Amino acid sequence: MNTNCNDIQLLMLDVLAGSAAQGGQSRLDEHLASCDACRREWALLESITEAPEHRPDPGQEFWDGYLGRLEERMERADSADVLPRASFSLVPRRVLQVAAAIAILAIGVLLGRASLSEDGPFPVPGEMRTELAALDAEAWSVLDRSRTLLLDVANFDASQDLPADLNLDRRQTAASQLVREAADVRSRMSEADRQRMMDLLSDLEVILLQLAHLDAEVDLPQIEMMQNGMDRKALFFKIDIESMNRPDESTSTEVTADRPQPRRSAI
Amino acid sequence: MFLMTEPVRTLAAESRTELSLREVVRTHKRAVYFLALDLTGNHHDAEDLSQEVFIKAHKGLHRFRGESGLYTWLRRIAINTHLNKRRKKALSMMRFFGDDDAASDTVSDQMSPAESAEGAVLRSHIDRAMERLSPRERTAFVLRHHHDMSIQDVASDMDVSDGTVKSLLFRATRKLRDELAFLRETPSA
Repeated sequence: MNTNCNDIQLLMLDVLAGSAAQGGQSRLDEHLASCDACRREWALLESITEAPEHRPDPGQEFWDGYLGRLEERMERADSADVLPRASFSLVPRRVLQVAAAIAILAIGVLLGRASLSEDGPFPVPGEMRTELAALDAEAWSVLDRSRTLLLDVANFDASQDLPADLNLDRRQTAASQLVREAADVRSRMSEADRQRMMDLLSDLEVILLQLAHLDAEVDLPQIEMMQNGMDRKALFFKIDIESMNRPDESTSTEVTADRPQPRRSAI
Repeated sequence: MFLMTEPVRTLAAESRTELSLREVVRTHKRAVYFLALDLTGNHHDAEDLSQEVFIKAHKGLHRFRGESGLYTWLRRIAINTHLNKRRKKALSMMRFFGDDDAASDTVSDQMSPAESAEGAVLRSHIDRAMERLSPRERTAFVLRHHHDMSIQDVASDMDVSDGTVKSLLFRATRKLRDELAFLRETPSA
């Protein structure tokens, strides 16, 4: 990418912001006609600024009850207006702030003590634990299969390996399926409070999506982009770390040492 | 006693139409809710904001003079309410913790059944990236690009200059591009 491309990419932002000088759009169009890199950049910006085709609709039950909930809220607000105000305003704000800070510290101490208990701060009922375990198992299944699918791509060396060996058609079908599964698990996982796993699944979705969309004629720059993405996100390292948390692994370090590892640095 | 059906006379001289808030809500609830969803990024805050809009509209409907469309008026209420709330929240957190990071948006990960799984994944990554925007950047961005408003209209609704809107749009798009660059990054030559 040359200096002109850097200028053009700033121009793109100006055009989208409506602040480009006269002739800016023409200059941009002219450059895009002959520059692949900038065309990709422009395509990215267009996809970012495109209005979503569909917004998640909360459902007919939500709409049916909307007016009722609004009326209840307005009635509560009206009732609150006629009640005598609490006398909190007579207490100096500073005193309230100190009291709140002490309360927060006290809660923190209680939580700290509770976290040392066997069940953690919020003991999980048996049935919920089973559900969480099942959800975790689904997540690990996605991680395992993704790892297997992506490992050969991660280790692909354009100077030595044949693209045909990647069996892209089969991998793309598997990648599409895994994207759907990962998204499904992640959406259910938000209730179970597994932020790290959710982030990992989210990163995986991006890479799997790229794999699913590789051109039928092997797109070497796209493969390199995927490899860079996997490296930057330390994907295999994070998958191995999550594997250590599995309750059925006997010795986590032994397991990860036995697994095939990407040739490129994953850290 | 609260009467949502009580007619409120507007000063719309042409038709001298009497509007009830119930009619206003029935007609505009979806548009206001989805605008609120774009501004806040999550369902819970979107419903909360949309209800506040109608509550404020109820109080001020008698002052609505009809010089703009009713939805335009509701939209301005939504934008001002949203930005004022975020500003107050940021100030209160600064006062208490000395921290000016007040962002607490939650990503809306709901999949629309009409969207493909892959489209939904892409959209969820864009939604996550949008959490990095400040409230004003996000507001300018969604109004311009998702609601197809002119820069002048965005400036009018946000009560800022055209130049400020352009600056917000520039920063917002650049931030989003930087967050999502890995989707299109090309290998160096």
